[in-house]
Amino acid sequence: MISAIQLKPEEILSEITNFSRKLSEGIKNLQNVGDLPAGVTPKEAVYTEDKLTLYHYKSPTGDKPSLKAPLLISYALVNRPYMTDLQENRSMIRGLLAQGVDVYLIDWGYPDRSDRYLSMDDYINGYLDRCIDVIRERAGVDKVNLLGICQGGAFSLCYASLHPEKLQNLITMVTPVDFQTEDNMLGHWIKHIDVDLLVDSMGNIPGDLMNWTFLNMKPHRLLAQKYIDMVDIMDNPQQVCNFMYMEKWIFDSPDQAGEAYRQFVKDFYQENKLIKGEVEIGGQIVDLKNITCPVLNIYANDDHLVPPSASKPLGKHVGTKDYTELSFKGGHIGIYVSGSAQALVPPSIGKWLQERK
Amino acid sequence: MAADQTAPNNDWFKAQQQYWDTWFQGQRQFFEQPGNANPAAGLSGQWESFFREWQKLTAGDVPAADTYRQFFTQAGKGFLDMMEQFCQTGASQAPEESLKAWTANMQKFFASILQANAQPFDAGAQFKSFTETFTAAGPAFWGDMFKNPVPGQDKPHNAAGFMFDPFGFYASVPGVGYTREKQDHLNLLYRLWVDYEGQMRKYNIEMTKTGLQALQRFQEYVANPPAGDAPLDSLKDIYIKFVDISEDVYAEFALSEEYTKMYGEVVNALSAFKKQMHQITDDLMEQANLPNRQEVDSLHKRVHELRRENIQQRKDIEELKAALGLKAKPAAKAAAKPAAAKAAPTPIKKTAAAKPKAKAVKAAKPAKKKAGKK
Repeated sequence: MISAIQLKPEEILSEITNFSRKLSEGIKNLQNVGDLPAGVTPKEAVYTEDKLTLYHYKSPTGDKPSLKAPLLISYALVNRPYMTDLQENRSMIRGLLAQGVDVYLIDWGYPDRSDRYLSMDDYINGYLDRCIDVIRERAGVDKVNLLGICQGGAFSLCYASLHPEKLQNLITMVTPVDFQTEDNMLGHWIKHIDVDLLVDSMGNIPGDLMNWTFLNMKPHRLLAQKYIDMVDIMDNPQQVCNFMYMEKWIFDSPDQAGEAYRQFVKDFYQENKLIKGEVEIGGQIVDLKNITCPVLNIYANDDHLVPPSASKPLGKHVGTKDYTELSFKGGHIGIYVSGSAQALVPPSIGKWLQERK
Repeated sequence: MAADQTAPNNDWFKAQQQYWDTWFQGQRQFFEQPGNANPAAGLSGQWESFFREWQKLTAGDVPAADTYRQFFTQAGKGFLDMMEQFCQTGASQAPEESLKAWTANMQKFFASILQANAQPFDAGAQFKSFTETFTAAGPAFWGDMFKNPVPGQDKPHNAAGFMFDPFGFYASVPGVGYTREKQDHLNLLYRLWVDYEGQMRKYNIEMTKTGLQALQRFQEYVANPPAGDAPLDSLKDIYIKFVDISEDVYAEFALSEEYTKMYGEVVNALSAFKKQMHQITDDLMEQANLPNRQEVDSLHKRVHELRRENIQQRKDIEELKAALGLKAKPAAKAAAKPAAAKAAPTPIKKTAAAKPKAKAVKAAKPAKKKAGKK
């Protein structure tokens, strides 16, 4: 019988000694991490409303945008949008600026109990629409480019269907479209949850609850192995810093406005209405066939939160004849921050937009 | 005033700094000992204490932080226990034997969880703290519900004849008399609590079973690795393989209908319990002549409704002005002003410039209006 284990006593001892040393020495590096900023690229707040802030980014090199139509990034309500601008060398926003894109981003803020009754209508026909109007006026253009990320991508699809006249191009990143595919774990888990009871009992849905759910999608890896792996890099101050940036972002989770959450989970996850053309927002039906502007759909092959099977169906539901897919070899988070993502995603977006300006 | 408010924080930071300095000192001393024969000794404990303190610093009063911490330290300990196991046996036994000993320990651990959760939920054992919490609120609030069922004794859980599940006894009969409604509210709260605890136990049992199943699959892998797989030649490799297998087993279960139903039942039971708890809290607040959550929620709801009406009216006015050929005021400038000017709340003004452009294409707007809707 062949055993899978081939260990030598002296190597075991060396491995353990090494681990202990790194754990011990590396803690000093953890202590020295200091404050971690939320976002690194210079930006200006150009519009605020309630807890929302619309930011306009400035190129660190001072270059002027070569694309006239600005790009608005609409991030998910869960987690914070500074994932797109985490560190100098891990910033999708910097990558886009370098491509000549004029970048705006919506920071939805941290909803509190007074925001419990914000609906999807308020978010999409309200906040998002008003931000787009502000950008159109500032840039002196009729149409802007919209980039929606994850849940923000689903919102962007709704927006593009309801306000097609204001969009030049639509980009969706790791965006669920079909919420009930076989490998969509969140889609399975939500099936038997009484969402009305959940929202009625909690009001807003706590960000910590959302986080706990996400961690439990891969509990052994995300709650255990990740921190064992951390010890490996603990003697490297820069890597410790990178780790802590990510750790800060992962656990920086705003609460979800109760009513918007109720509709999103019921209509999108439980009833899969987006692809059925049955989502109703502000008294209007969201029909993906209304989306006739060019669409670039970017998904991550190893995404455990929004598997490719949930994103890829977009192509057969939108009305546009100019539909492009871009797959990225990585996960839901790596698509913004990994080295390969920096090399692939912003240049691809820039090129795609340049071809459609 | 401000200085007074920051003083406790400074003390807290000083205390934390002191704790960490002591901790580092201890660590350094341990590793500076020459010829330390067993570098893994106490690693598991160090890990647990390190993360416990780290989490305390960072987690604050996050709900479920304790659950997270427990899982987190326990999971990390799995690897470190394995290290200790290998280190203790050292060269005296084959690595396979050390691994067997480690998996046997893991098995024991899972079995203990299984056993603990397999016991029927003993509400009586939980009864004391529960009743004490509520009796602390006083009979003025709760009427006769928590009063002594046996004269001469001041705590219901002490009462002979009610030792086992005394609430169950109460909860099985409808409330009567002047405090009937309060009794019913508490009866329901109790039943929902018992239901949630039962669902949670069921959940824990099934999750532990997946742990055992992963362990078994891991042992099978070690004994009969697929041809072509690289050998596991470090403890980290072994651990990662174990994690991979555990995730696979978990994912299979987590995607099953059995799991999703069970998950839904746990979440629904917890939601129902919390909802009832909030109802009782609201009643309490009302009796204390304080605003409660329901009232505040109603106000928020009305504010949102008014805002929506207001936005719609502004839009209508803009459209009417445009239809009448009246020039709209340049509201967009105000709406788009920098955040620094936030003090003047002009949150939702449509841009005058944008409006005609949007209108020009409105005829082509393909979104279907739903019949009967605005």
